[in-house]
Amino acid sequence: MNTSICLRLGSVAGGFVGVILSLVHLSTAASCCGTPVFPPTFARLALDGMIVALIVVFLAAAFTCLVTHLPFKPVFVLAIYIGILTGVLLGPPAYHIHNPGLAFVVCAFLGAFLGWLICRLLCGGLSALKAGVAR
Amino acid sequence: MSTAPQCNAQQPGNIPTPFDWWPFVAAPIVGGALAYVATNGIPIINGIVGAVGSAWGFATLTAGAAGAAGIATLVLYFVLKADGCIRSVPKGEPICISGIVNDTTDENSTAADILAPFAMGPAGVFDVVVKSMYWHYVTQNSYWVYCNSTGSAMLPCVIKSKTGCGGHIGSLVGVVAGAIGGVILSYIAAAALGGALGCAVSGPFYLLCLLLVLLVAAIVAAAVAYAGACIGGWVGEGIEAATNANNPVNAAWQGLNPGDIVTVQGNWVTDDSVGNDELFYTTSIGQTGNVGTPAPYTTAQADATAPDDCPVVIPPIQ
Repeated sequence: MNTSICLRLGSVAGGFVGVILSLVHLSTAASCCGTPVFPPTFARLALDGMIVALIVVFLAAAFTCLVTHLPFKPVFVLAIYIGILTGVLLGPPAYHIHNPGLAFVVCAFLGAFLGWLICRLLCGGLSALKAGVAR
Repeated sequence: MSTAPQCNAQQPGNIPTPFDWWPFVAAPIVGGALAYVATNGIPIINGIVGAVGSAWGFATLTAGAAGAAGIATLVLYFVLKADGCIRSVPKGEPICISGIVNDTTDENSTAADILAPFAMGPAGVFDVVVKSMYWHYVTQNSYWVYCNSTGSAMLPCVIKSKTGCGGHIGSLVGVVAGAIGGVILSYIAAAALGGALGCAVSGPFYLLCLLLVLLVAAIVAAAVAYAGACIGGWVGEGIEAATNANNPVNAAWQGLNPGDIVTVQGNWVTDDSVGNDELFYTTSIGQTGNVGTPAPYTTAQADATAPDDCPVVIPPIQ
């Protein structure tokens, strides 16, 4: 095993945070004459991003455990860390990218980077995970 | 005779896995598609959006398209793996080895079979304690050597799943139909939910309401696309199971037990995740007897079995 699971979880979470938060902005502009009544704060957008990211990474982690032999608990712990970090950090910038396609690409790449970073910090050289995967 | 293989890790450094290009290629493609959908909508569905006249119709449409695209990318990732179904297996060398079957593992998972037919892997794998004359097939180019509890080197032999291939092809068709249906249904669901919650009215929970509606649109589209992939996969599995009921390799593998003395042929490759050498896939299994004692087995026991019938010059597999 290598860092690919972190890259994929991060890019999936980041991509969905990007597209959904960007679409929230589009919807706001469309519904309220271009000026939202309550301008969202950083904390609000970070919370929204975290909600989206956690839903996505939980579904992704469940699927990963279904189709691979990876241990259940470490994958979900990894998913929680990646979900929280990508959601909090990418929610606010995603909201301010008005093009959902661009937001998706930018946040997917940034999410992949954050996922890789978390893998490096949590698992070091990943030797433990690698040994765990080997039969 | 060469020296006995060292078990487990063989050489320092990471396994040279191929570049993980999927996310990096998929992201710009999906991003471009979403940008197009956000700008122009989807031709088939534009009429519905226009007729309903929703203020954020395109946003919910794009959210649905994002959910469906996510599932389509997931299915494509699995069905386009080099597993001999749609793409051919990695080109290796056709080899023949002999030894004693140490263990067999049935990789079929009912849960994966039902919940993710597009992700079905091989039917199973059996580990052969090879004769010492075949040790080089276990160690050459490898980063990992599997050994049993006696320290005897084993070569994993992977068995192809024909029904899994049917599932992959069926899922590919199913996810396309599911994605189209999913986007339509997600738009209807989002419009209904938005109306019920009154998201058009501004208030303290306005953003959260919009977020909820867009999430529902994405999840409904993803769920329908996923259901399409599963249904297509089940149909494909059924068709493949009916037409390939008598596969000789699968039948021979299912009859194997620990202790069986076997001669095995197959495509010899190095696994790109763990780094071990293996037969991917096994093309022929010949059983000549059983050692009659419980596992684990040793190389000395394998060497003591009768001479195998591996040909000196191996003809290429047709």
